[in-house]
Amino acid sequence: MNKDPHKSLFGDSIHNPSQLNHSLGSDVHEWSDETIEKVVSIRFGGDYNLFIRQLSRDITQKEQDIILLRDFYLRRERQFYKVCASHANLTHLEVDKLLDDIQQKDTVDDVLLDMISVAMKEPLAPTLKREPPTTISSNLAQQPDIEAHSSESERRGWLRGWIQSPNDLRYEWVRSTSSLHSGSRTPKGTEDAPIVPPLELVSMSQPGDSTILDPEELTNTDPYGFITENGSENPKRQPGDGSNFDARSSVSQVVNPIDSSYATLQEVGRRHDDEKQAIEARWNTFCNEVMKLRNERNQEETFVPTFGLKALELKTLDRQISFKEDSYLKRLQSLISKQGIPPGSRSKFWFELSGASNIRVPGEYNRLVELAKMHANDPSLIQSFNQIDLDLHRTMPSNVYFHNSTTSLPGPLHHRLKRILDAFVVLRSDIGYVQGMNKIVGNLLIADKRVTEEDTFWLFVSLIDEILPTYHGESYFSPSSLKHIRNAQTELAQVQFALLMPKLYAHLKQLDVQIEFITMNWWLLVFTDICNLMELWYRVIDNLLVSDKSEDFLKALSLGIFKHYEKKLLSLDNYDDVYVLMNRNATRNIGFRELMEITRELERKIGKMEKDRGKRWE
Amino acid sequence: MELKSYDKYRMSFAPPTTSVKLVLLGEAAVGKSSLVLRFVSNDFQENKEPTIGAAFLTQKCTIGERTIKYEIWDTAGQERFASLAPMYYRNAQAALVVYDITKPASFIKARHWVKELHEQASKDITIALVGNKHDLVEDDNDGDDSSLRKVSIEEGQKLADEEGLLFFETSAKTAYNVNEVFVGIGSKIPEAPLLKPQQPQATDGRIDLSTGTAPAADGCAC
Ligand SMILES: Nc1nc2c(ncn2[C@@H]2O[C@H](COP(=O)(O)OP(=O)(O)OP(=O)(O)O)[C@@H](O)[C@H]2O)c(=O)[nH]1
Ligand SMILES: [Mg+2]
Repeated sequence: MNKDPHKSLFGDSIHNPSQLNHSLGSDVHEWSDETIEKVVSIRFGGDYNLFIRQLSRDITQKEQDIILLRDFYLRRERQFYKVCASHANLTHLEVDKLLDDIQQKDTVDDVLLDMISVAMKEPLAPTLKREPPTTISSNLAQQPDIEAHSSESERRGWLRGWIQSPNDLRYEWVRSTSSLHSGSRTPKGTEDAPIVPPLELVSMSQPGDSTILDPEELTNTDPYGFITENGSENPKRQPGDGSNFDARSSVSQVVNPIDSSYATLQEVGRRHDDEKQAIEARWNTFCNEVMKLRNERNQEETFVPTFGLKALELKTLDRQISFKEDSYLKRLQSLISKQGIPPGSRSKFWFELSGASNIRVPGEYNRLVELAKMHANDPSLIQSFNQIDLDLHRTMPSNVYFHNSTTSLPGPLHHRLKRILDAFVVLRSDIGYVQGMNKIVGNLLIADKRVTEEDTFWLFVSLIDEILPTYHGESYFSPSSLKHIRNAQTELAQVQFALLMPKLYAHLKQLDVQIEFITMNWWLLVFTDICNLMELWYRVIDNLLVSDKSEDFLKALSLGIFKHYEKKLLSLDNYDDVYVLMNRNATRNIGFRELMEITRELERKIGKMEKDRGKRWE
Repeated sequence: MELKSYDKYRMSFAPPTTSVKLVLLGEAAVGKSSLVLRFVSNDFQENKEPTIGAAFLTQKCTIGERTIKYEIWDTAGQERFASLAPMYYRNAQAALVVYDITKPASFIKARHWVKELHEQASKDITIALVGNKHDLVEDDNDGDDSSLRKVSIEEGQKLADEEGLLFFETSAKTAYNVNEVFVGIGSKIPEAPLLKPQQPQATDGRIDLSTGTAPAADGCAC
């Protein structure tokens, strides 16, 4: 505040400013003529000009103050949003402290300069950026509401919330492997196109992934049509193989890269729009039907879940059905395995299907977080807390939300991850923290940023309590379950694998591959590692939530990944190539729909095998 | 695929490659994966994701006349997964037991691993004891109280001598002594049983009799 506070909007050209130091207050218009005359003669030596100047100065000053204040509060408000997005459970004091850095600007010029510099940075031609989202959302918005009854239309409105959320997921995923190289290859002309395409593009393409992500067709482009470094064949491990890919991508570079990628972009965008609408229509029909039935059945009851935990409510509906083919549960399962839950409403479905909405106790999460802080040194918990701290900075280091690679500081979700894991340790001290949980919670956190930290916590708890397999009543991550999970791998390898894919089994056996070494990792991480494309993992969870028996589903998925690589695996002739192939990059170019359909088929077979075995034992 | 058969062809003229199954054990975050990454890719990552289950990597290493192909199983450090370790060290011909020289608890854990390996793993397993993160104490003066070092060289050497282990202090970060560990292990591995190169160790359970290495301890390992 050491600058001249009177530097006004219009500069300081007023002569004799020393005389203009006496603000007149805000009620001059109410003064009587005598008062005005008196003030002018006493304070301004009878000079009306000076009086008018003072008035004008007062007004300008006030305007200036308002601008400064408005700017100050606007920045505070923005900061507050940011704080809310990155932290949670802060006390008023903590919030105030975090907002403290925001200072009021000294002069209006500073504010103006700020505004100008922001304006200068904004791209002049934002068409490329804005067009695709508006078409998608406006299409949705324009869908006419045919329903006449007000109560019905309300329900439909609610339903629309489930199905048609216009906001696509946005996660900005720095691709650690491709960014280095793709930077130089991406067309340079398109200035406002990001050099490294954010993963949101991948998520947006999901409905048609099996066509768009066809590995044969587009080996060296990412789903949005940008040319990227080719990663399909696991280049990290086999640096020697890189050369031929380089050659291929440079050939496609020669053909005017900007034009071709822009055309592809439009094409993909259009296809995406169409497919997205088609899928949404299918989901809408289904949900409308279910809603209608549920409402008919439960006239009096006010709160009835639509689908219920693991879609149990649909099973009740199914009981009234005479034809098995019409089963609502089956229809939901098939919708999910074919298309996945629409990303915009995924979190809502997850919340209900997982049972999180049932076990959530409002406020409880905050209490657990506080407890975790209070018991930071509790001997029974400290091991878990220490391990969490060891793992936090090692969780998704290449994701900007967890780790800011330019500043080397933890990203906003880092803190949420810590609190959620800590709270879980307090809630379930019998389980504690197990490595791998960090990845699961991490994935859940970036699934949908509109979901609160608290809800993510309950989703995680219910995944563990209700959804993942349990062994003798103990949950998946309990210490005692580890040996059962291990046994499940042995059984998977020796029984189901051998029976369902005998040829591949014989081959792997002959190479001395230990199948359980491969699948064990997948299971311990609940497939976060092998399905390291977010959208694929979310699909896995979608399907897991409605699977008849989650252990069968996990087994089927394991076999499904092998099945997908059957040809390739059969051509390998030593076991380390198998281990290397089936590592985390294996699913990079997998078609989601294809994998999920194989999986569902296998799941059915496994279920049948189990049943038959059960019968034989009886 | 073509490449591979060519490889084989070529190799019949080169000195035989011996495959060595090597397992890494040690407390969480001591730097097992970082050591492997340094050895395999000569790289270091500040924030390496924790290993869960076990990671598999291979790397060749030439020692004198011989080429050794390491088949590395890098295991998870969290105590919770300790019971899985036998899966991976079964049949291993070599083991690295890693601790962090700035963390005394990790040294205690290393002792346990050495003991367990002696009791459960194959009898002629070659074990190296590795004290990692040497870079953190590089500029220490002797007797410096503020030193980050919590496990002295002497302690490590003593344990190694008592148990008949190779001993190294390393830094995955600066690459200090990392290759030496693998070269050291390689030169201690006996040549004889390894002459069965990449050939799969026969099929099913019919391997054992022909080779000295295989699962002597198999029966009691789990
Ligand atoms: N200063 C220093 N840090 C190291 C060194 N080696 C590893 N680290 C760091 O220690 C942390 C753990 O390293 P990892 O290699 O993941 O340890 P790990 O033993 O594989 O851990 P788990 O997989 O959980 O068992 C990482 O943050 C590494 O960057 C080293 O030689 N010097
Ligand atoms: Mg590791």
